[in-house]
Amino acid sequence: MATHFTERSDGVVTIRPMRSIDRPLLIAGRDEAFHVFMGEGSDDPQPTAIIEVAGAVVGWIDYDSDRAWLASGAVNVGYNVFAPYRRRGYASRSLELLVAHLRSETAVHTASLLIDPSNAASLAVARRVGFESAPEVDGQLQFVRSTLSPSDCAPASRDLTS
Amino acid sequence: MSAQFIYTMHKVGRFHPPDRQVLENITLAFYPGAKIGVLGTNGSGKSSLLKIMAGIDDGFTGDARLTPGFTVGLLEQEPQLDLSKDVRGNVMDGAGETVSLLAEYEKVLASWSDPDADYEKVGARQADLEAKIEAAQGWDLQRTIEIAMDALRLPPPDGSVENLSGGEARRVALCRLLLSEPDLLLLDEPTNHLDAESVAWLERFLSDYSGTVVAITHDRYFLDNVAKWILELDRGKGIPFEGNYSSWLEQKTDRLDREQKQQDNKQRTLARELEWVRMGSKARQAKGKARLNAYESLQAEAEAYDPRDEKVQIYIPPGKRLGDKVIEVSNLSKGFGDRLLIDNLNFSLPKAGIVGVIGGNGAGKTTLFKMLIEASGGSTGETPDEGTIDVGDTVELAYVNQSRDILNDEDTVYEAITEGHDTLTVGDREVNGRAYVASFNFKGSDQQKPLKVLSGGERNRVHLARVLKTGGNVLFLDEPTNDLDVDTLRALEDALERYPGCAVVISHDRWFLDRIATHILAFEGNSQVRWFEGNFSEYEEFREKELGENAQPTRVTYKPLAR
Repeated sequence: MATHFTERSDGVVTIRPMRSIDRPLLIAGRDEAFHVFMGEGSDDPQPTAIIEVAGAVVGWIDYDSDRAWLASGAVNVGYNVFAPYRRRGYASRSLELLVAHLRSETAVHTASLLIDPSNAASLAVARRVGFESAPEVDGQLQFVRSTLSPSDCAPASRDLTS
Repeated sequence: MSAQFIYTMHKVGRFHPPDRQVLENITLAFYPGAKIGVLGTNGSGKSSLLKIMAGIDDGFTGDARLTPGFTVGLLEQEPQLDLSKDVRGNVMDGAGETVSLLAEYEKVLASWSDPDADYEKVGARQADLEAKIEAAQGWDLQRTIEIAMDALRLPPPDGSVENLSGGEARRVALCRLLLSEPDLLLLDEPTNHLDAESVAWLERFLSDYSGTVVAITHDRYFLDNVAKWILELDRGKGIPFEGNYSSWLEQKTDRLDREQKQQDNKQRTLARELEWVRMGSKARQAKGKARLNAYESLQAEAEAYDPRDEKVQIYIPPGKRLGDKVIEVSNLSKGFGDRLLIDNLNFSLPKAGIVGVIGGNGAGKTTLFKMLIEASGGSTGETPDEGTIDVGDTVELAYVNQSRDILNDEDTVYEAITEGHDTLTVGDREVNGRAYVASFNFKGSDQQKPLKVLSGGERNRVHLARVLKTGGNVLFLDEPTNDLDVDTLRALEDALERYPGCAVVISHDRWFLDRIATHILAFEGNSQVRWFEGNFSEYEEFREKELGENAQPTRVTYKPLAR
C-alpha cells in the first residue's frame, strides 16, 4: 500500500524506507517474543519502514489495509523492535512518526493496532501514543487513533523529543 | 559546562609531621579535558596531591578548589569496597545515577498497566527519563559494564568482595570509578595489578575520556600515549610541562645538561633512556638481538667492572659464567584443581636472554615461575605434571622467596637489606652496606626508617635490594616494577642491560619489557603459553596481526583438566 514514504525523524528515532541490505537484519532480529505475537514471519519481509537509532537498524514498522474488519480509510499497524533495543521508547516514537506520515502523506484517517492481551509492552505503547480501546477482533484487543490532526490525539500523545 | 579551569591550586603546601614538607607553595590550574601524568620519586607527595584534589585531605595550607558544578573521583592505592555487595554490586555503584534512572524507567513502564494511572503524567515522566538515559548513554549500561569488567579482568560478578586480593579489589574499584565518569578523574597508580593487555585497554579508554585525567603512574607508555602534560613533583615543588613523556625526557636531559651535571650518574641514566626513546623500532629490536649475541663481551665487561669506581644506581652482581645450556623446558603441562594452566610448553632459555612473562592474573605465571625456580635449585615444591625442565650445570639461581610480606616491619631499611652487616658480599665483591642501600635511592635518614612506615614503592625497593645482592647467573623477579618510581625503574633497566646473566621477569610494564626483554613468555588464555623471540611491542604487533586490531582483553579462560 505504501508507495511513497519519506524519511522522518524526531531527533532520536528515524523511520526510513527499507533497503535490500536490511532484509537479513530483519530476519535475524526475530526472537521468541516476535514469533509468539507475529507468527513465523515472511521469508521476504517488506515493511513500510525501517526503524533506525544512531545509524543502527533496531526494528521495523508497517501498515496495511487489506483486512476484512478494517473500515474504509483505516489501516492496521504492526511493528517489531529487536530485543536488545526494547523498553527504550523506540516503538512509541516510531508509531508517532508513522501516524504523522499517515496524516501528511496519505488519505488514511484511522490507525489501528491489534494487540494480544498478554503483550503488556505493546499495550503500554498504545496507551502512550494515544490509541483508544475499540471492539476486540478475534480475541485480540483493538486500539484506534485518528490520524487527521495532532489535536485529535488522545492526551498521552505529544512531542516526544521535548 | 564551560569553565576556563576545572581545578585551581594557589600556594598549596602540605606538611607531614614530624618533619616532612611534601608539598610547598604549589600554584597550578587544570584545564577541562586535560590528560596529565604525575611524576616524582617515592615519597615526593604525589598521593598527597591527589588526596587534596579529591577533597579527602584538608590538612593543607593555601587554596585548592574544584570549580563548582564539576565532579571528582579518586582511585586510591588501597580503595574501600562495599562489603555488603558482591563484585557486580560494587561496580554498579559507579553507575549509581544511571542505575536509578533505569530503575525508575522500569516503574514508569509498569504503570502503563495500571488502569487508574494518569497516562498523561506517566507519558511525560517517561519522555523525561528517556531523554536523561539517552544523554547518559545509559541504555547500553549493562553491555558497557560487561565490557569494562572483562577488559579489567574482574573476578566473578556474583562473588563476594570480602576475600579479594589487593589487586582484585583495586580492579573492582577502578571499574566502579570509570563507570561513574567524574569530570576530574584522579588515578593513583591505575596500572598496578593490571596485565599488559588490560593496561592497553585502559590507555585507549582514558585517551577517549572526555573529562580531565590526572594520573600518578610509572607506566611510561601511558605517559607517552595518553598524557599531554607532565607534572613533575620534585622536593615539594610542582613543575608542569606541556608534552608527553618522551618530550619531557628531552627537556629534562637538556636542563640537566645546562646545569652542568653531565657527570652525574642519574643524568647518564636519563640520557640512556632518551637514546632508547629516539631509536626506531627496528633499532630497538636489533638491540635485543645484539644482547643475545654478545654474552661473552657482557660477561667480560661485568667481570672487569668495579661498582666502587662510580656510584651506580643499581648494581646486579654477575654470577659465574653460564654454559651453553641454561634452562630447557620440554612438553611441560601443569594443572591446578580442575583447570589446565599450561598445555605442552616448550622453550630454551638462551645465555643473556631476558624473558618477560606476561598474562592475566591467575593465568599461571607464578606457578610456572615456581616450577622454574624449583628445577633451578630453589625450594618452592612446584613441579610439572608432565614434561621436563632441564637446567644446565652452570646455573646459579638468584632469587629471594617473595618476601615483601615476610619482612619484619620493625626492622629499618638498612637492617632489612644488609641484615646487620656493614660490609656486604654482593656477588663476589665486598661492598659497603650504606653505599649499597643508597644505590636503591635510600639516602641518609631514609635508611633508618622502619619498614612499617614505607610506601608500596619503597617496600618494593627494599625487596629488590635483597634479591639483587644474592648473586647468581639466572635471576628471577616477580613483579619488580609495581609501585616503583620512574627513576628506580630506569636504574633497574640499566642494571639489567648491563647484567650478563639470564633474567626471567614477571611484569606488566610495557616500557620496561620493551627496553630489556629479548623474549616474551605470554600466557594467552585457554591454557596456551607462547614463547616469542622479541620484545613486548614486537609481540603485540604479532598478536594484532593474529587476532585483528580490535582484540579486546577478556577474562582468563582455561581448558578443563583431563588427567
